Amino acid sequence: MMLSGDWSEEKGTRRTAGGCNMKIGLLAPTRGFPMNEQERNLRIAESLHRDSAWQGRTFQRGDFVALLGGEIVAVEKTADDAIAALRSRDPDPDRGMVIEVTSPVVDVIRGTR
Amino acid sequence: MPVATFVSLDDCEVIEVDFITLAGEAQRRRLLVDSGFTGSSSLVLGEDDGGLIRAKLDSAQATGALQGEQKRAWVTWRVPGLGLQRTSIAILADLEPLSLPEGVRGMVGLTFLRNFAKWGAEQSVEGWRFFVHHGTD
Repeated sequence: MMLSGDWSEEKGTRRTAGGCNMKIGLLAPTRGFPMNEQERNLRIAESLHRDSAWQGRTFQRGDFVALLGGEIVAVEKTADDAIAALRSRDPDPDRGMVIEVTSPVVDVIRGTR
Repeated sequence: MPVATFVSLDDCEVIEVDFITLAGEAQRRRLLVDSGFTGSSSLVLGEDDGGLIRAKLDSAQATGALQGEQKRAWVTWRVPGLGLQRTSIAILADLEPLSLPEGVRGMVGLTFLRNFAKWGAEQSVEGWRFFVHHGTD
């Protein structure tokens, strides 16, 4: 299903485990250019991180979800299995993504010198 | 308990890691050890190491020596001689801001280190060495 949208609606603020405030937006259907595959995948990823759900389907925290072409193509218990499922459908590492169903976490890299 | 050791550099600890590509090749990288690097990502690799990735993830926020939204990918790695292989999240970034020593092509952080039963550094007559122990599970 092709969706058109933009980052037009802010859905609030989430405080991450790292203590940072992250604004959560949602791609809303609006008139405009259709989403590309990357945007569709990211829309699903955002929903998985925020709600552990997508289009009425719920997932467990810690599930690994493979996305390709804006659709969920596999749900597995390990990253390796989700990656294998994704790559069996498309061997190009630049296509699709594997998302872990978790809340967003800010990486802290304190510097080395 | 299997153990791997790596000669320390003058001012930092390093580890050598083999990355297993989708083609099944092992590519070795020397990485700086920094337990102050925390979060869901285990490693930082250079943007020019995209050939090591097995799948992409959505980008995520970082703070500190790297700021803002960072590209991320899944990589599969093993420590030579240790019998341990894992798939973890790596940030792919411009390494310039990290001022890494020559020959060091990225970093590993606390999430990476917690794959091991024990890790640390010890002094011997030959100098300092960083070590990791793999559990017997």
